[in-house]
Amino acid sequence: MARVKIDALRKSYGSAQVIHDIDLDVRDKEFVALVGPSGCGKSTTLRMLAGLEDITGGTISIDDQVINDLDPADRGIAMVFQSYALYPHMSVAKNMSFALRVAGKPKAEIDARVKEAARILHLEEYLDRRPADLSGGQRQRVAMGRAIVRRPDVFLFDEPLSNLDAKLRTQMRTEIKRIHQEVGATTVYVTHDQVEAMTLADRIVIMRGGHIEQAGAPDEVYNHPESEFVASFIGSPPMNLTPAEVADGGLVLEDGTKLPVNLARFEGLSAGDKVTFGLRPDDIVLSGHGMDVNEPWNSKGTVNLSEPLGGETLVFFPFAGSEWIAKMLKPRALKVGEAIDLQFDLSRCHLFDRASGKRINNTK
Amino acid sequence: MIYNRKVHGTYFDLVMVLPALLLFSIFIVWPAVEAIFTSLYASPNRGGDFVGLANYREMVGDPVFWIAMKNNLLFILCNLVFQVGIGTIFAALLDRGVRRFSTTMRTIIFAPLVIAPVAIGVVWSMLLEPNFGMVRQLANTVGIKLPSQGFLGNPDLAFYSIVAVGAWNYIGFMMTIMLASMQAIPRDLYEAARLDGSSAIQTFFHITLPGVKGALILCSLIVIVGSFKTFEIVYVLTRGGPGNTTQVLGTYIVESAFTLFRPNYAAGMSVVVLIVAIFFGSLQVLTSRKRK
Repeated sequence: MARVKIDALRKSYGSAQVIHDIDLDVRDKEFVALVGPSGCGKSTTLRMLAGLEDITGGTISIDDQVINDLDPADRGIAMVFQSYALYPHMSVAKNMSFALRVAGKPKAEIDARVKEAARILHLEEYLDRRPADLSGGQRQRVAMGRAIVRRPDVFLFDEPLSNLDAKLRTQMRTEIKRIHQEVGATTVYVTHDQVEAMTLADRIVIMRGGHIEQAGAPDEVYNHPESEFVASFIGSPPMNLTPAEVADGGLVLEDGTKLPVNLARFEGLSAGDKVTFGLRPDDIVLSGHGMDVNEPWNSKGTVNLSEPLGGETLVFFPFAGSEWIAKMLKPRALKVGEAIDLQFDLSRCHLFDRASGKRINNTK
Repeated sequence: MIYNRKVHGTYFDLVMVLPALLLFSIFIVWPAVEAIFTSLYASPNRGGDFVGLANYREMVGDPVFWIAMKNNLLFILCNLVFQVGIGTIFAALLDRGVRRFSTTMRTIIFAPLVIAPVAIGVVWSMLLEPNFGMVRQLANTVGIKLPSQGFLGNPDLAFYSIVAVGAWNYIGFMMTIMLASMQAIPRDLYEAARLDGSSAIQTFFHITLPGVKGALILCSLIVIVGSFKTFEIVYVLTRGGPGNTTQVLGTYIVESAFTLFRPNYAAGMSVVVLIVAIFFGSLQVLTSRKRK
């Protein structure tokens, strides 16, 4: 059992506050990903959890025991660093067993635990090699092995895949998921890559400027972003967003385009309200593609750019004074400048208050 | 710069290294060759009798030569312990422990290195002067009884006093090399070690020391070669005395050449020092090549 509870956690460097009273409850065996742009405070939060950074205010507890003043080694946590932080002069086996050796564990136990971790991570044949003789992926696995042998209650990952190439990153993502399922430890995973967060985590915590913007399951943050920031951060490509104003019978965009959005679906809107209208690229289709659209709204556009990704094609087109993206699931060759007929599924649109950036909720 | 085959090439390279080669030949190679020749003759000018290895044979039977050799070896040992050892400890403290005034401390520890060894010898001989030196006066003030001949006049203390002055002189240099090497160790490794439960001492031995192995070897070789060539501080402080107890090859060579007027014998000893220096110098080059 390892439940991590963060209460009103605060961090300041001199007069600059970088973490603002955040609360987070990570359930036992849960995989939580902290995501956000650079400088949002995700790594600082993780380092405070690890004990590598002092806490200015608030508490962190594991299973109801406050760990604020405990040494990193006594917190029952293990951490995988972005740089792997492998001891360069030690073999893989020595790297993995270092914590057990300094703790004075019996040799037989050390050997058994290293073997077990090597089996889980498919590292048996590399135990005598040094980190310099390993590939990036293998080093990453050794770093995880070093964490596993300690049998921690909580695993912390600090952007562990950012030094790997795209293919290896995808492989290691699967590997991390498999290991989490096999080891079953509570995991807090920091990344700036929202795809990584979406694919790995049971719950995603989106941070910005030292605050938690939203915490929820991947489909929840994707389908019901609590703020304009979350809407633009989660999803690849990101949600199309444009300023609009509430009018009778729908929304009026800044270029005068009228969108017949069913405003009765949204709470507390009145004419003249300034909002941001958002629609995911998946919810815009090329007319005649046979896709189901609940509240279709037709528009014409011209192709600025198309990015064929194999199974789908991203089409960039000008709309309401900015460039929008549509994701075509049944791709066909499109030329730059080609005229296209588009269908917007307005039943899937999101509205955000323009002043606060907060979501305008759907009526139940 | 674009490499131009017409301008650059073997001749161009030769021209570029020629000044250095010339200076090296005039000031290093030629005197060394001269010393070898001189050591094979009976008198300074080569008009004297060729005596072959007689000077070297005499060295084998010369007790002062062996005292000097033993002192040189003892110097190596002491300097390794004090200069490299304490330099490494200071570096570790400044790297990991001391957070405040570390730049000031670094400057204070490094400062003696910018003073010429002869000047350091003069300053310390004044400080350690047996009757009116500052050390004597301080000892008297706090009621500590010092030997009547002082530190440098006492056969049991003179050698270790020189070691202490040498350490004061060079610890800063060793510390600077070690500190630079320590600061190149990624901070992540220390954080990983903290998470692994490693104590400060365990971290020093398991992370820091292996990480600075190259610098440690470099410092050790510098100390070994430097200790074998040691001369100025010993000459200024004790001139090899009292009673040859602090005699080193450097001072014995000068004494043989200019006090006893036996330049050929002195040249022979210089050749021995040269051979030892070349041996350790080659080790230094080999280790640095290996590391590359």
